[in-house]
Amino acid sequence: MKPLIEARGIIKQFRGRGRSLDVMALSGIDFSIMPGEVVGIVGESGSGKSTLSRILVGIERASQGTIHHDGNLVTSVEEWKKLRRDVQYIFQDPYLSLAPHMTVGQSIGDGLEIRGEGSPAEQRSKVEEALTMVGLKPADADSYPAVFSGGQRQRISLARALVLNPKMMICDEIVSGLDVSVQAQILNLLVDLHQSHGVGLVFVSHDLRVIKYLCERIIVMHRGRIVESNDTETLFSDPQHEYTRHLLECVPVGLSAGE
Amino acid sequence: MSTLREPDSEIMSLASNQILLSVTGLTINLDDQPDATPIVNGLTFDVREGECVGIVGESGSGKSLSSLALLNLLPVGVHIGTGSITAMGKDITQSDRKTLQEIRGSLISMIFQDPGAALNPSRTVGKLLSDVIKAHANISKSEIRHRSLEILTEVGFPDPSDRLKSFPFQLSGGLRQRVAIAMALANRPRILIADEPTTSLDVSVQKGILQLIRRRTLEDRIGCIFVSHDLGVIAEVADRVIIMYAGQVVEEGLTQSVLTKPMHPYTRGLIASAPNMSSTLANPLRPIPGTLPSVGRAPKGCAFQDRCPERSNGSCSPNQPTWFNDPIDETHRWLCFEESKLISMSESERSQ
Repeated sequence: MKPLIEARGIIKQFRGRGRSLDVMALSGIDFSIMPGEVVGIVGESGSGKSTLSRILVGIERASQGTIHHDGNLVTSVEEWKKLRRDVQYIFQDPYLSLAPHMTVGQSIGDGLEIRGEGSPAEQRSKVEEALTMVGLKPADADSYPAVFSGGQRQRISLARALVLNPKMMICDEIVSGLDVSVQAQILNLLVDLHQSHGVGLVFVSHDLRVIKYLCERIIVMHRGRIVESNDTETLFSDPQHEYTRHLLECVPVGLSAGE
Repeated sequence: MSTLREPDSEIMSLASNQILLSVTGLTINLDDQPDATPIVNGLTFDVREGECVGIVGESGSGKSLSSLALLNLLPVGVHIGTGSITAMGKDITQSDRKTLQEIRGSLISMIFQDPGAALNPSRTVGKLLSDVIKAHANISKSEIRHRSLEILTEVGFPDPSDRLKSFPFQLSGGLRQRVAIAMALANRPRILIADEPTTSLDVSVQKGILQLIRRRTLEDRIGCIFVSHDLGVIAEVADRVIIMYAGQVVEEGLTQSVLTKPMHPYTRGLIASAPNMSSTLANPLRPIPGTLPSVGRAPKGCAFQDRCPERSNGSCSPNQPTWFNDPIDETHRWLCFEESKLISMSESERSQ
């Protein structure tokens, strides 16, 4: 099986105000994701985890390196469009990622409309189907984002991704801004979408507890490099890199120690 | 991996220590809706010297407003309705502006969530500290400098003398929070309020800040109030914990006791929905159904009744819940309707 996305030798440099102030955000990343896989990218602020996830779908362009989709090099606009059909990106802040002047149904259906897929009636039924998948009501399509809570908005963002029937969703810190009791609802929804629809996930987070719960494989990033990549069980039971061990020691142990 | 707290036997001995802060029946109301359910309803707790009290809750629980009320810093639109806040014999709710200014920063200090927003960007580290020190003491420049360096060293700020001229933007988030803590501790306060002080920080930086707050609480015999939504963090720093939901205290007691033997359905739900290092898909998270009530919209009686998975239809909704105590640990109490059902459920869960 070919990887769904493969990143080769990705380097990303952000320009500073002088040569010496240039920031090397990613220095040589090789990374691939198989269809249907659930991969976690973990790291602290400035590690490059968000930059990498954005480069995977072309929101950000790499300074050097290539992205392959289903084994084909992605360069032209058409090729990027194809990739973005298969791979949907979900943003951290549900209050910023939905257009306030569009109804929920318009936002979700936008991807279908832009691509000219189906008649308006077909688009509407797909929108309602997507809303049902994320635990909302079909009638919610006619409301505006303002009436929904943070957790409900994140469900709407998921519906907007799911309506295109993607093979993979890239989730950048999508539960970080949510309350604990609501966060668990979204995490379980992601698990359900993966198990019942086979949607792959790239889950970017700084919270090792969340990553451990959700992911089969984990990539640890530090200062623009992948320092360790392993299946979840091995990474937690037998971390190889010094930085991974340091990160694990810093997680608040909380309840597991008390029980 | 061990927590930063002392063994529980030592905390129990704290009970004889002096009470620094005493909150009794604190109610916070919305200005424009005097008849609505108060957004903080009957908060009562004490803080003794050398102990850290955690306040846990989600958005709208009133945890941040409660901590602001302790310094009489409530935002426009809400006010303290009833109740008293007594810090070292002074009633905060009755104090005039001048007394409050004397109290803030010298008797009671506060650290906020975002150190970037809490520090004046146009002042250097040295200036920020001297502002705070000068506000409460009439001392010479060299004494101020000496005190600044001393407090920066105490909070684990590396190379303090080189960095007195640094501006906040030149420091990392962790260092900024250390400056904010240094400012809070500069006048040797007796009470420290920390409102989500590590939420915006990376996990490895968080650990250092938690250790620092813990150490200063013990060494300076401060009474610390630590507000957080993260049970893992609370388990590391707090000796006692207060769980709030929609303005109500629903459960409180020794941290160990509350987190290992949660009695209130909300506390159980919070624990079951928070991933920890032993969560796996085989043992899935159990989210609390529904959403939090918006501010001032909490139902009368038990605030949690609409989302409660253990709710019994007959006795719950219209009545006022009552406090139940743990027979073994009498500081551990929770607000509910049926004592026996909860205790038997927790025993069957524990035996699993």
